[in-house]
Amino acid sequence: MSVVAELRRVSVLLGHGEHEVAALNRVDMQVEAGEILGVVGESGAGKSTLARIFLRLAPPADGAVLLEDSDITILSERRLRRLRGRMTMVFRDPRAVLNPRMTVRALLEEPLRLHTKLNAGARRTAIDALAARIHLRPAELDLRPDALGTDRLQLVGLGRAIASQPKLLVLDEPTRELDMAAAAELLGLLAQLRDGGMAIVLMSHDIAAVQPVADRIAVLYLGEIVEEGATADLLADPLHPYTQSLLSAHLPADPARRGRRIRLRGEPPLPDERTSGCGFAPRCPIAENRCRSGAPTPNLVGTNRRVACLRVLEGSSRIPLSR
Amino acid sequence: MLLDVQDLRVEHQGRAADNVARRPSALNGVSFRVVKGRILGLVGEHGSGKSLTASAILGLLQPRSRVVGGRALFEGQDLLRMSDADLTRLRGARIGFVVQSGHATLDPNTRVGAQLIRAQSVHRRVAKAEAAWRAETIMSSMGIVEPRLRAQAWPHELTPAAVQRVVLALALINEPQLLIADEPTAGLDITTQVQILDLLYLELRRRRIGGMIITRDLGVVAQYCDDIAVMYGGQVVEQGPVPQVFARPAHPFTRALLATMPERLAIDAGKVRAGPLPEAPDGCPYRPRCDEATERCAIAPPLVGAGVHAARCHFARIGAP
Repeated sequence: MSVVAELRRVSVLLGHGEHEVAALNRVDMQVEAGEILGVVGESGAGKSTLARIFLRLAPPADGAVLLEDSDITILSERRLRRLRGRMTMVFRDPRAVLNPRMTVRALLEEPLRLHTKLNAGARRTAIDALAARIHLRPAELDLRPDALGTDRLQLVGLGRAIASQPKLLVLDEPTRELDMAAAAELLGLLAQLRDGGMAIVLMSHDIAAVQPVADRIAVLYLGEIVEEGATADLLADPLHPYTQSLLSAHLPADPARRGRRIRLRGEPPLPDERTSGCGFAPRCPIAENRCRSGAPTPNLVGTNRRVACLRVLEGSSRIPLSR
Repeated sequence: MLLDVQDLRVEHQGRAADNVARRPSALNGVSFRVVKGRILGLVGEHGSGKSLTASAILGLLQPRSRVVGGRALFEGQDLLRMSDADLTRLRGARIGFVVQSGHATLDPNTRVGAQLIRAQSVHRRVAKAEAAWRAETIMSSMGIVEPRLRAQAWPHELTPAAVQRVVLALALINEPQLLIADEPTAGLDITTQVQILDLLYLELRRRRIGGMIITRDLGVVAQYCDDIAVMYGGQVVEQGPVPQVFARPAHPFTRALLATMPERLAIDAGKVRAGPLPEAPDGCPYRPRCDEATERCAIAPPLVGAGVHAARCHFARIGAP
């Protein structure tokens, strides 16, 4: 499989002067054609920054951003604009990004007008085909966002993003505002797009929200990847203490599986609360003194997994469960 | 019985674009019960009437909505026929209420500690020192570290999670018999959500407070609730004790909801279709989306089932595997 988008040791700084903090810290990431990469992290972890970097909506402070083997780290806005149809994005709240004065048809037509050379008639045909693909009914094409529920609007958001047949699709918490049936529907559509060869980055604060379709999952904490691996492996045997905590915080819809979970202290920190050493150490139930001084870097564990934890190397990174 | 809602009906009043007055019914006979010391999870999708049910019970409907039928008995008294003054005395005292948007609950001009003190003195005579002590105690039981220091904070200085902890503290500070919480952890990070729900659960259990948690997340219900009521199209379509309903869901909508939980979700690309909420058809409201619907579903289905577990479906088989 070919790599569609790649980040090489990307760092991003936010703020100025003494308030400058690293929103992303030397992140390496790749996503291939026909693959869904799930990126999981809580608020402040750097998900949205990561999305902006993948699409080159902002330049990184350090490192390189690649799209289909060409380096787009330092392109002019003009040259970037020509690539916009090849890398697109879906946002968390469709109501906030869709122009309320446009009909669904006009909203779907906009990317076709900007990024393709189709004439009006061809655009019309393309919109009808696109609507069918994203499960919109013909009658819904004539409505404005106000007349549609969030669930339906998110399909419009997806339709806009895939209208120009992008190589790379980035979705930032696309199912967070949706009902569960609608979320499942959206994930089903993503699986179809993946099978059609698109490279997809799917971000969420909840592993469970990406798990049904992600081929690989990367876990982000304080701007760093703490663990990355194939979905099935990572779920079956999470190695980083933070991954274990995240999985443990998911509430299974099964009353027979109550109790016993890992409880973390405090809230996810903001980048300006970063201490030296491992970023997770202040909340980690099994942190040792050395975790507070030396910052671990992602190490290959086995053939297919990267984990940034000092205790993983000696196989002692598992947190005992408490009731 | 702590809260017994029977056949609650609510209509919206308004005019459509053609200037013809319409009265779409939003709640079509909602019935459920909250038992003392037990926690009920009220689940359903957007627009199924969960929040509206809570607002109607508490007399907090928007002006254009009104109750047109039913009863809501709280310890035997009908809340729907109570005077505003009596309701005001109940709300925040014997019934705690947490609305969906926590931040809107807090007064931006008052430090959080003072708000917790005020919430007590509104309802009864209490010495300031005692009120302050109680405020700190409840803050700490909701997981706020250094409560004395945090009591001096302004609402805008708090993180979203801390706001939600304070909002829950406000709802609990007068030791209510019933707590109604509308999506108490929506929008929070997953690790903090679990922390807050754990603390809330402990507090409800410890003081034997009856709970009604409104949520879209069946995981919250499975982990923290004793009973479940599933809403669809302005009705409760299934209710019963959590273990029974999860093991043997009797209504097709409940089964569909359970099937969309991420850990049970088998993505069969493109097969799942959510579909827009239908315009209240005759008969079963779930009919347009139901795989198992037949001609009979054009007739409004009865409540099937005896005792604690019941579903509103012609074909419900309670307790069947």
